[in-house]
Amino acid sequence: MYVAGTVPSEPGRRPIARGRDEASEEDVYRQHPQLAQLLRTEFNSLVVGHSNGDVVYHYLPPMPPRIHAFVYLCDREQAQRFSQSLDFLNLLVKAPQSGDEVVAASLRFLASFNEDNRGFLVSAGRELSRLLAGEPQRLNAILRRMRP
Amino acid sequence: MGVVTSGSLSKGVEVKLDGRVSTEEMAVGRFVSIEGKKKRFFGLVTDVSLGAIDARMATNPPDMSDPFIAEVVLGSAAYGVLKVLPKLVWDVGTGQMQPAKTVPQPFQVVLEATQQDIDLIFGQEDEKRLVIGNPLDMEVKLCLNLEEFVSLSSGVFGRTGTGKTFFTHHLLNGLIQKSKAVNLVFDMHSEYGWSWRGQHGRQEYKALRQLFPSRVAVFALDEENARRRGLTPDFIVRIGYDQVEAPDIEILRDTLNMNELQVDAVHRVSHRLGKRWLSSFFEVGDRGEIAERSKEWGENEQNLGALYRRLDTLRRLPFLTPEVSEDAVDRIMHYLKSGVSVVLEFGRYRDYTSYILVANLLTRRIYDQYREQTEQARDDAGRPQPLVITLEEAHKFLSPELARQTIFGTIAREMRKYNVTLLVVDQRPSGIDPEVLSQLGTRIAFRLDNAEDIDAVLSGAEDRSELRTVLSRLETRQQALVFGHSVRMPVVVEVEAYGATDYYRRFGFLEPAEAKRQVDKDIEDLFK
Repeated sequence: MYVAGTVPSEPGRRPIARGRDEASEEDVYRQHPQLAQLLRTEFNSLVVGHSNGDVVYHYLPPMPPRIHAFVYLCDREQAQRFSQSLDFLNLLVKAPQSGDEVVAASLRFLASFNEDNRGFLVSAGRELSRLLAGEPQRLNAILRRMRP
Repeated sequence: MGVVTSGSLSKGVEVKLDGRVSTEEMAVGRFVSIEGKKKRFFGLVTDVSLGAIDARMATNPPDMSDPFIAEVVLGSAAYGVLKVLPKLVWDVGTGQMQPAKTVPQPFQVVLEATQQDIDLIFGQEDEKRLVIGNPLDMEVKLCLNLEEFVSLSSGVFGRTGTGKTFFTHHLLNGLIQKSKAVNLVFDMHSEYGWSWRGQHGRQEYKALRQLFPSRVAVFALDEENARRRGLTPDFIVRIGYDQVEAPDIEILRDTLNMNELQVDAVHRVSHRLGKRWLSSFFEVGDRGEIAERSKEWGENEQNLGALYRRLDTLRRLPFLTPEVSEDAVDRIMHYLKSGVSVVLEFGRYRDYTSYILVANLLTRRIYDQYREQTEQARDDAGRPQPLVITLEEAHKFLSPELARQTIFGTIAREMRKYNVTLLVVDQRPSGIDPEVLSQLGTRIAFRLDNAEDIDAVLSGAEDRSELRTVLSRLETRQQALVFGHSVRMPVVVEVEAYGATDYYRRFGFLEPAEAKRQVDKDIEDLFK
């Protein structure tokens, strides 16, 4: 997941500040139920692998996801299975749209499902240092962001 | 430890170290094995360096103060590199060990060698192998094949205080215990007979006679000195004038400060006067007849006068006497033939004149007898037991000028022909004739500081430049590089510690109380 943001449904309509007298964010939505219809949250997703039955592949699927396909958050078991190989890192660091923050954040996220949190991050860091051998500054920036 | 990344047979292979292994734990001289598919390679670490996956890393070094970043970077982006010289190949299928004629495939795994590997290469202790220590940074025993060791001359080199005397003692103990050779030790500093004190004189160490009372005889040149130390030598060596020959004088050229003309005159005079030439010449000089005789003999009077004065200094050596009742060489041969090693202590006569004169004179005649015996022997059984002559300060005999004249040069060059070999002990190998050095079968080099000495020790050795790095990085004490004929590959040894009770016990030495108990038990068993 990358570049996530909440925008008005109608382009060109700027959200107006509300809730001066409310105590919390929930109260704002209770007072103005239409807000849930006027705002929507969008995010982009970078495909770094796919699965076919039980087999997980750490490279691009032959076809992109269909329009209207439902999107789910990976559960713990799926994340663990996926993170057994670090081959997806190549796709992740080479994709023009994913910045250093995305790389570091996604590795932190995957590490949280791993029992050996630090061990996972160290292995991932080593893989990164091979992939980013020619970009020491970027490597250093990512490594600093993924410290356990 | 890591994987092979590149390299060649002649220069050695490069090994990228695993991130878990720090270069700080590495050392040149360490022993490694490389697992090939069908073969296992054994090699020696000859260099350690650092590598980085990209040169730009150096301009933007990562933050190594952070433990996480350090852990990630070490072994991946930046890593240690070992240079390993493959020396041997073990064929897993046939079980054969051969010199390495190729290199392992790329990315084969490199492991630290184990006791099994060491046993495979150097063998386990048995009746012909002696444990000499452990390989560098390994807790395993390393053996030297003594049969092969004595078959060629060998050398122990190292500057003072590195442990070469201890190691020479250990070798001699092994040779005597395992009966692989009889020894003749020219003991310039009186260390090999009974006991000696270490460098700081704190501890007294037991030497050959104490460990092997029935298999070592101590001869002394200086009776008084031996008695003062409370010792009774088996024989007091005296040398008769008639035993001194012209070549014995010739090698004293430097110590007696003789010039070329005088040396030539010695040969002519000894030829003219026959076997008792030295006594006769002294008589001529004592009677003041040099002038007359020089005319008669056609010699230059001044030259002959100078020669007389030079030779006269020899008369101050108390062990040199006009007549001797018993020939020292006969006694030495008698002992050597019955398998008893002989240590000749020089006592106070540590000057080079005495040492060179006596060692050369005795060895020349002993060697002649050995040669005769060997030539007469029809088969191996008739050949005399190998004789190892231990020679300290060997550069005095084996300098390029003298090596051709002294008997020691001959022995070193003739190799094993007559079953006599040298064990050269020296701290200045650069003073030894390169031809002699290159004939040494096994060389044991402790720390040497002088670059010339290091080059000299390695002269004629394979892989000189690689071994040079190893040799110049040895610790100052008790570490030695062993290479040559009797070891299948060069190896750095942390030598056996000398002098503990357990050490002496290995060579059969019992403390008096213990020895008495043993005797009592033997007597009891006898009458059971």
